[in-house]
Amino acid sequence: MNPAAAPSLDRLEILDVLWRRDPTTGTREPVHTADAAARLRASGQARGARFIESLPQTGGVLDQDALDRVFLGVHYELARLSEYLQVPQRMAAGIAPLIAAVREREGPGPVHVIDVGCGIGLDVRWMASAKIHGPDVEYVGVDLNGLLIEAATRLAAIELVSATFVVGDAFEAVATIAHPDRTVLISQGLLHHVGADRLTEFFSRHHESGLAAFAHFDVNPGFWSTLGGWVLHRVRMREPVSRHDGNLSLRRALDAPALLAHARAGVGDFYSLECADVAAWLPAPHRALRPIVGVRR
Amino acid sequence: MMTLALMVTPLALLVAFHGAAAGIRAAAGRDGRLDHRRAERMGAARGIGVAFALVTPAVIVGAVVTNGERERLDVYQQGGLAVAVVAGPVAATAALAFGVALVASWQVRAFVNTVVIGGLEFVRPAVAAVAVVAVWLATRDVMATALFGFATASALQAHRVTARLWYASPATLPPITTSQEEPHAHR
Ligand SMILES: C[S@@+](CC[C@H](N)C(=O)[O-])C[C@H]1O[C@@H](n2cnc3c(N)ncnc32)[C@H](O)[C@@H]1O
Repeated sequence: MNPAAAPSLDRLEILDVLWRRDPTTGTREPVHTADAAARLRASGQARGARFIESLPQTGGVLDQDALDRVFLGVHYELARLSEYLQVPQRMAAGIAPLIAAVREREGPGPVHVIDVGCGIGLDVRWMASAKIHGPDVEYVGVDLNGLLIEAATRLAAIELVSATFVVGDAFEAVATIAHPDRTVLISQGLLHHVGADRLTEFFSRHHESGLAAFAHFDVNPGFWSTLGGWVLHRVRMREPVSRHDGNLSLRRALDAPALLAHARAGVGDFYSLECADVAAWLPAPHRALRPIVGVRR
Repeated sequence: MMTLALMVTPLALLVAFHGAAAGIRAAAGRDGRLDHRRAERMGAARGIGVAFALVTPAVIVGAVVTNGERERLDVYQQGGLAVAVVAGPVAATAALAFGVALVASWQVRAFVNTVVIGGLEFVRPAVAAVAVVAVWLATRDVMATALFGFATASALQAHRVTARLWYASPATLPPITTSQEEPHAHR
């Protein structure tokens, strides 16, 4: 599929417009109700806009405490949903061969696993806590959202988990990797946030940094994931934003041919690429999230 | 007395199981932690308490209406049996699924957690409605059907009430601590 012909991914989710940061300093900025609601309305999300307008605010600026509650509420239950779906296990199994390949190619020494768009870092905390890939693997989580990174850091501290979390943009994080030969870049649920317009650029950064391998997981669009996602959001998620954004993200996710086209356009022939949609007659929740995997040749 | 116990015991088990499941659901996903077994066990206990509290008014009305009359008691027994016949297998399947999820591979666990347990949670209101219809079919008694309907509708609120009483807000960020906690298992 030609990336230029890809469906627009730019229908915004509610959380997309509730976090603003200064692009140079990275510091959190106040969110103006009217701006946030207008952005959602412009992307056809009138219901989401009304939700934003109903949040506590002072002088047209959304209350930070209320926003924190929304972000944490959504990400805590999203993490629990990931556990029901065994997402950390799925990711750990998916990246194990990539870590092994780095070890084989580069010899002994640490391997760095960087999860971009990590949210509250459930996946890296789980992998680090279980020491699932053996010793000498360093797990790092990166997210634009400083509140979620703070939550991830504190959770890792009380759980005695050895993982590091930093605030940052995925694009910059890829470009500034310290040990690209020994780094595996991963993500879960990030690609549909990046947006079709920027996916090729995102992948091209992988190639420019010389990254050893990557595995970006996202929903495998299809009948079962749409139906299953809807049912699970009804029975397991209580936050209205979770239901709204969760169902929308299922519609934003790209199919394998589109992802492969973006990735190929971005990394050229420097990486071998793999991404397969799972067409199943029966629901296969352990494969509902599938990765696009790239290994530097 | 014996037959009364035969009716009450399965129904009490059903209420307890339903309350525990509702309580776990209410407690789940409120703190972002890897180890939430203790928190969810507490949720289960709260859910059980709430479920029994919610069905109590229907039980009291039932006791008053029956007033020890053998005939009425027989009708309620029929109704209770109908509820157990409909909801019992569903609860047993869910209990079995919980057990399987504890020991299975992560692939099977993902299926059981979402398709089986998630699916059963989704159809729970429908199962409850069928159970009430079964009471009517078994008894053809308006009062018994109304009472079981009232009890069922009340029990279905267990999740909402537990969530509202104890889990209305997500946990605030836990403070960084250096206390040595038990390492946890990974499910
Ligand atoms: C759907 S959430 C997934 C969170 C987590 N990976 C999980 O599976 O629970 C997407 C996350 O990506 C983050 N995000 C979106 N765009 C980003 C970017 N350009 N750089 C870093 N993080 C980004 C958001 O802040 C959000 O936490």
